[in-house]
Amino acid sequence: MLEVKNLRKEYGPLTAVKGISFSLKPGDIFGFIGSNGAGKTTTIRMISTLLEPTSGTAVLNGADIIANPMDVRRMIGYMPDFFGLYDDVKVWEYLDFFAAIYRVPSGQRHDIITNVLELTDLTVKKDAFVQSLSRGMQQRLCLARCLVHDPALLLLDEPASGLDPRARADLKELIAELGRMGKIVIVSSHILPELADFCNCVGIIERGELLAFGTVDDVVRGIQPTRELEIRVLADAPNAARAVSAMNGVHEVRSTGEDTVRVEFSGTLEGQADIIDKLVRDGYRVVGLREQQADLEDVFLRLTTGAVN
Amino acid sequence: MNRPVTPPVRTPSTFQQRFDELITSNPMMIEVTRFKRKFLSVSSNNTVNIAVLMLFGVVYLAILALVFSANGYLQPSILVNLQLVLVCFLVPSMFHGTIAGERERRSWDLLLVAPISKAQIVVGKFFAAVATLFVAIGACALPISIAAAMYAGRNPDIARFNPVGVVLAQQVMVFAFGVALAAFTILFSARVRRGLTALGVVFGLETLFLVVVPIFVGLMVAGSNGPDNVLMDFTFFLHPFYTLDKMQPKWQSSYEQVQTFSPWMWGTPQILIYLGMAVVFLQWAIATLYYAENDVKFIPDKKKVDA
Ligand SMILES: Nc1ncnc2c1ncn2[C@@H]1O[C@H](COP(=O)(O)OP(=O)(O)O)[C@@H](O)[C@H]1O
Ligand SMILES: [Mg+2]
Repeated sequence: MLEVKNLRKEYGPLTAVKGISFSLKPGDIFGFIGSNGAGKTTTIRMISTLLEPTSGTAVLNGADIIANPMDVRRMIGYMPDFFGLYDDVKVWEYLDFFAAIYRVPSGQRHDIITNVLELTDLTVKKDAFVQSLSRGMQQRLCLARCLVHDPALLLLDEPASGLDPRARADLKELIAELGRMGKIVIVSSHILPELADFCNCVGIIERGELLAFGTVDDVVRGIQPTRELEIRVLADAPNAARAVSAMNGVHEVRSTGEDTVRVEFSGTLEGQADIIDKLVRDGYRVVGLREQQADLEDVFLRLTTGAVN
Repeated sequence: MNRPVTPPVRTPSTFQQRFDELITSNPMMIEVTRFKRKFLSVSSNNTVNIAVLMLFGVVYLAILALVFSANGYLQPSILVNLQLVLVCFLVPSMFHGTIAGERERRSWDLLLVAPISKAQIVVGKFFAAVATLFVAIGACALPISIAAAMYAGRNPDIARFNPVGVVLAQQVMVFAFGVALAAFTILFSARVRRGLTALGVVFGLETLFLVVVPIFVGLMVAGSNGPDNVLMDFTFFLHPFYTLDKMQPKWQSSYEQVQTFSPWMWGTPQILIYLGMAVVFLQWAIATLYYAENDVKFIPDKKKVDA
């Protein structure tokens, strides 16, 4: 359980994060979306105990980031937006080093590292020097490093940046797997489509303010409560439009030409079925129905002005 | 009344705990392996490293050749001084990046988010430096001992000026100075963002305190009183080259007997003080890191704040 409470960070006159609050439970994959400079990295660094908040705090499984940073550190895996690995160490040694730092008992290290390498698909590289790995592999190694101590919370800052599409897809799969393992995962990105399909929870941040937070559906519905139903009929669309205009949940009806009715609708699925039912019973020949719901991209563009600090 | 007898609880001494935390079970000791790889291995695919190592090999062979060609007429103390010069240059160039380099490479954050104390990080890195230094000094010890042995074989009388004990003590002194210098370098590496800044600062301070100030003070003091005055000894008490010279037995002015200096005056105190300084520098570095945990607080980024 992660509770972020009114987290705020000021850099002199500039307030990079303006009192952000949210909470996540195990298994949540939280997509943290915002343009460059919105305050994602600052927020993540505060949660990871690297940056002292100006005010506010966050509590992870009972440990406060300000009062018990060491306890928090034991429970988190943090992957910075920019990071460097060491030269002159091998993949295995690198992981063993971090396992030691995280006080993984030496008897278990071998198995854990084997598993983590397996999970991140680096088994074949276990004896390679880390500087010889490709960018995507280094990214995965950094993630592997975050996993050796079985953290409850993963903070991944722009993990997909600089990866080719193939590596991105692999990474998404891996993150989804981590969610299934019951970890809380926070993934930040300034690219929307990257996150929408595997996060069960999103937050949109701009200029240090969390503009929206919730499940993807909630967020979309919160911003745009109505969806558009595009109903195609064989003929007589204007009359069909009039027929449904007074029904529950219908905000606005337009007809285009003789064969298309567009309904701005905010009702339940039940209500949606009723509309079709009514049209059919009134003798209109319904050919098809298409729902057009705003997606995260629309929401994002609608919410944010593109301004940065 | 019967007092309940409480069995004595054996708690491990805090010193023992501290020792375990910092030395025996400090995961940062992997740094020793890394340094070994970095500076003493040719198997790593690092051509610069191999080039530097080869350069060292050549210099080393040259020194050995020099020792042999001098055929016993080379004072070991000359080599010890050379060794000290090397330490002055090599220690900062090898260790200036220990912490600043991690900041530059951006691997520093990964250490800071781990449940490891600043003290463990600094001590681990320090021991890696000391181990490397130990190997380097050990390598220098070979030609020096050969020179000492040949020198003694050539002229047992002159050899009184380079007794094995003194040569050994001088090496320990050089090592102790190197340790202090390594800690000093690590301190500056902890305080700045770029490794090269640390290198520049340490070289600058070295030049100031080992060259500029001595020349200045020497000119002022020597003119008035001759070379062996107390003020001079006092001023240069911690100067490693001065100390090396003082540790060396010398002719009396009468050229009849050898004048030796008490090892309790020249040698022992310097070694102890250098080691003490190393501890202070390390402590200071740890304190600095605590302060610099958030590097923004440490060095405010002017550009970003203004933006
Ligand atoms: N060290 C710093 N000093 C001053 N301002 C900073 C610092 N780091 C970040 N900022 C400012 O805080 C804001 C948020 O930055 P950041 O959290 O990095 O954004 P994001 O990760 O969403 O791109 C930006 O306006 C940035 O310029
Ligand atoms: Mg960022």
